[in-house]
Amino acid sequence: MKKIFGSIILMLVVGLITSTHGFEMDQVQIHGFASGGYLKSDHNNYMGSTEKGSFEFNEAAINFMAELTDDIKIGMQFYSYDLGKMGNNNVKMDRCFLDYHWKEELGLRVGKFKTIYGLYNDIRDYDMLRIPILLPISVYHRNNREMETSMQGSSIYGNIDMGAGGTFIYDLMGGTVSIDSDSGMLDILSTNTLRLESLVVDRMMGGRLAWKTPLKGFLLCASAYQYKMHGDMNINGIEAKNRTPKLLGSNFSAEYNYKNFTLSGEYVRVTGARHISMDMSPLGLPDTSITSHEHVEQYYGMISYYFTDWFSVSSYYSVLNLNKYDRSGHGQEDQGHPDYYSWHKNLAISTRFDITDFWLIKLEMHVMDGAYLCTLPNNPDGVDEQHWMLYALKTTFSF
Amino acid sequence: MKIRIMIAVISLLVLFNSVLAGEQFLVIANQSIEDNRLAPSTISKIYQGTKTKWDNGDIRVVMLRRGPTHENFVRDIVGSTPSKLRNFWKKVLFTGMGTPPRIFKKEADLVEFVAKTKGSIGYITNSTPHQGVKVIALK
Repeated sequence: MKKIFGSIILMLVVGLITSTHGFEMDQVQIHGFASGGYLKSDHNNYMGSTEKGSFEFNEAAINFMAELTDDIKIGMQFYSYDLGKMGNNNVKMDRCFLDYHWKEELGLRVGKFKTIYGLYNDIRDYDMLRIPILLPISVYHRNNREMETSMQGSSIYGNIDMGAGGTFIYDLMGGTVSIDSDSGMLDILSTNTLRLESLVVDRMMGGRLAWKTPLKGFLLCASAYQYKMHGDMNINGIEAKNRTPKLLGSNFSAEYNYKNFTLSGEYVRVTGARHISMDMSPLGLPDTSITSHEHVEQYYGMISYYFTDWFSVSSYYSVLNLNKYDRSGHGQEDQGHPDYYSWHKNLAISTRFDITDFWLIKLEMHVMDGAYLCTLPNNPDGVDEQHWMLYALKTTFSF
Repeated sequence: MKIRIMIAVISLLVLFNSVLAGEQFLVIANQSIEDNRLAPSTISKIYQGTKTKWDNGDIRVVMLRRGPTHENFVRDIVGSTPSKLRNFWKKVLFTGMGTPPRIFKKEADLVEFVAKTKGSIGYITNSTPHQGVKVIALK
């Protein structure tokens, strides 16, 4: 009840102010947005009961920014979303930080802030800042949102002007990440026999180096993050501990803007070892442990074109392989699953219509191949179709 | 000989085009700004968020909401499009990673804001009255 009440208050605040241009006092700014959408698939459930059609696809946020001095500001955002079994419109403080921008080359952030990673990680919650409804799902799939979008800790950042050599933009971050049970992160790591019940990120550190090259509009980025995590699991009714001492995510990306065109692409690797120790004492057996190795590979290429101020389109092809050394999915077959459980590939076509500066509508179509992102809670009877379609409609108000 | 004539013609066209573009807008700044001349590449960095400070304080970016002057400035100086630039600044606003610009519908309001706001830089149609602000020459 409390959660529903919180969501209603947030939606009302957003709704009431949406018709205005945001609220600004001299040094305080308040902005926000509210989105609602619909997802429909012809087979398989993706992020909700999409086979029947799902309206559980909304999000809203309100944010505050106050400039205390020229160099110091504080920012705060409350965010709520519902996406099938994820989010459930619980209002959460998504961001709350103090920013001291001492020099062009050096600034400091402390608190909870956006994780800078790849090209679009910092905008994955903001529908109005991009053309696709779903950012390339191999790299920006929603189940990983809680782990990747924001962190608590500290960060240093800055811009280094290299003159004719362009500009380097760096962000270095360290801290921890909160992962809630309704985030979807636990679902993506669970199977029929193995249920991840909790996940704690003890440490996350890394950063991004972006180079605005001398070629106008051409940006190159390299990002890397290292995670240390632990969690509780249940394997066929047996309690187990999951320990990941070092999981490394690395991302190489490029974006080229030329007039109304934007071309972009990213390649991501996630590597590490996961140790699972099982308490077998209830069965009168000695404890046992398993080590599994992660070799996840994700990439995409995207092209976008802005026809006019109010109409733009984009298309991307994205690929996620659970194991880059087993792209054919033999490992899944060995476990009795179809091979297509080990990948998720999709071709997406998106259209965006800006009705006003503050209101937009989007339509999108996905041709899907594979089932890795069709999680067990959404597909309790398994995923029976390798090739399927997903359609999405979304509208967003922002102020 | 033909090649030289062609190069001369193209050079004249480019020069004529840049003169025309230069006549369409003026870059203006608050009197607190020490620079009298700025390279277009520097102004582009300011409007794309990679240069955020003057030698004597923060840069306050000021923009027009729309119109031909806005479109020409964004295309010729910033090297982007109005849609892309609008999305960039919305990103700054919503992610909190910077200070978003002040945006004005009326050029007179923009001039008034730049005149009274330390560190601010903006642009206007060259025929718009601009008392109280500094005109920045393009290098």
